[in-house]
Amino acid sequence: MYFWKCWRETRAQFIAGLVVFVAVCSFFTIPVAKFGSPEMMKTGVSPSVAQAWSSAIRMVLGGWGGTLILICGLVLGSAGLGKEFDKQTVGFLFTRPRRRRYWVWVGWSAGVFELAIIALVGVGLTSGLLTFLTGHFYTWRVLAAFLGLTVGGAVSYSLTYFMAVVTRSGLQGLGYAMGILFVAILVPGMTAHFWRIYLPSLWDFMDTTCEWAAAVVSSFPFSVLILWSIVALAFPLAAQALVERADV
Amino acid sequence: MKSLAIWTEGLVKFYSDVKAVDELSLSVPRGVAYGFLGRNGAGKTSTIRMLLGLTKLTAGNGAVLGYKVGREQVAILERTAFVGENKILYGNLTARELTRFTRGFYPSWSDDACAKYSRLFEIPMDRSFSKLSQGNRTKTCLLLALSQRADLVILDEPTVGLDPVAVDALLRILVEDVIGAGRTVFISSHNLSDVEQIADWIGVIDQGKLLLEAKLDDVKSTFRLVTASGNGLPQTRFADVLSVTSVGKFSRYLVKHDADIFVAKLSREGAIIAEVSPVGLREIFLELVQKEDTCTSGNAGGKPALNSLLGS
Repeated sequence: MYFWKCWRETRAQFIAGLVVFVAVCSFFTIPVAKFGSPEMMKTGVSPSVAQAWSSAIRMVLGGWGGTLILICGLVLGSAGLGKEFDKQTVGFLFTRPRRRRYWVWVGWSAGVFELAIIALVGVGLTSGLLTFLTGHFYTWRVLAAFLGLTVGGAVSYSLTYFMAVVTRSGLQGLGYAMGILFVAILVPGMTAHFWRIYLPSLWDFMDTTCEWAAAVVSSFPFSVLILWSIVALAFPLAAQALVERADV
Repeated sequence: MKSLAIWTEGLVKFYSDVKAVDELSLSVPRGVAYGFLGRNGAGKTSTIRMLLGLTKLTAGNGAVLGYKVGREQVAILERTAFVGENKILYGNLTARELTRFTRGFYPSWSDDACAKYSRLFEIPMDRSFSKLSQGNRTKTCLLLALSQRADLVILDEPTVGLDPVAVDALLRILVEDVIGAGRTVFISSHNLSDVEQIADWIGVIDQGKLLLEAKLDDVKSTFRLVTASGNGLPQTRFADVLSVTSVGKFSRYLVKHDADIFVAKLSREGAIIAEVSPVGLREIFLELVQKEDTCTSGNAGGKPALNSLLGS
């Protein structure tokens, strides 16, 4: 029932996210697939099937899609359990006969489910268009892009979800999460650029999982995927610890 | 303990350094209406929140329907319906959607009761909660609680925003459908006349301490308000005297029982007895929390204050 309630309350944001995602995928996939990367466009060389797929998946899903899924995660996370404190509905919720961890995890999984649907539709549409244009389908490339987007989105969503619980406010949680995410993307970029120190970066992770499509010979970065999945799961776990001890 | 709907022993709640509840020991029998009374900030809501697991106990023990507070919270919540003082639900859900949401949590939920109460309260079931009036919001909260058919119904200020017709309907439901079915009502309200209409038991709390817990009928039949004048009259609470209020030579005593013996004692000490009167819930409440009954507008039926009695 709570899953339904979460869906009922966030469906507007979900549908908006989905529409934008679909629009972006539809708008950018065809030119990128036809003309390849900007470098290829400069040289006037038509891309091969594999190059068309790689360029489209990396640019459309890894670039635009990655940014969008992070934003969707931020928005959906701010509408999670933290908002219940903000709106003072938490007293009603916590007097329903369920353990508090139930509210944390059901609320969290509703958002992850929505993100996964957005990623699935986006990846499905992009790969469908690519298959239509090239006559080929690369199962692992599609799966990699889907996993990269879903886990990346889940990290930004979980962070916002947790911060909203910490601050007991959806809006404040969103603000803090945006700041943290910005720093988390900026700092590894700076350390890598200036000092050649490579820290785990969410942006790199999403880029890498999509980039994997370009480097067919390289192995899929499972360890990084697991690392970021653990990060995504750590936030609701921390939120549970807080909520179970919270005075309402 | 199992025979009681609510039992607490030495319940304490601190918020930082503020003691909201102070060694509170309650015994609420099953199948009765229990009026839990107190002034603003007396500790009523804190007590309820502790019983429901919304806030943790600082010290003490408690049980609801035989289940330990803090340890068997889900079992307590399965059998307890609650309407809090803040009647806030999800603004974009309609009353119908709210019932659909709530129904799934309670095996004892009754769709028939829900339909009956929604008709009785005349709730616009397809309007968003945020667009409902204050009264209809309260009614929606009551609908969700009453349709659960819970063994214990805890109501914190349930009549706020309700018109007299709705109040009357609520009190009838509580008496006929809840107490009549052997279930328990624990009602916290400032509206003493509403509580007086249905309560079998009352508990009066002030500054976190329980001042009185008794059957309302016993209170009405044995408690007396004794007004006397004289020099050197006793000014402190003792034995059966629950409260003393004095102005000049006049003193007013709330006597628990055996008022005749107390009056005789005062007379022997040279006091002139001005009045010995039975008391209603309002007088008991005001005497216990040491507030003068000023007989203001809206205080119909209230006993005249001591000052009024003296003509000052």
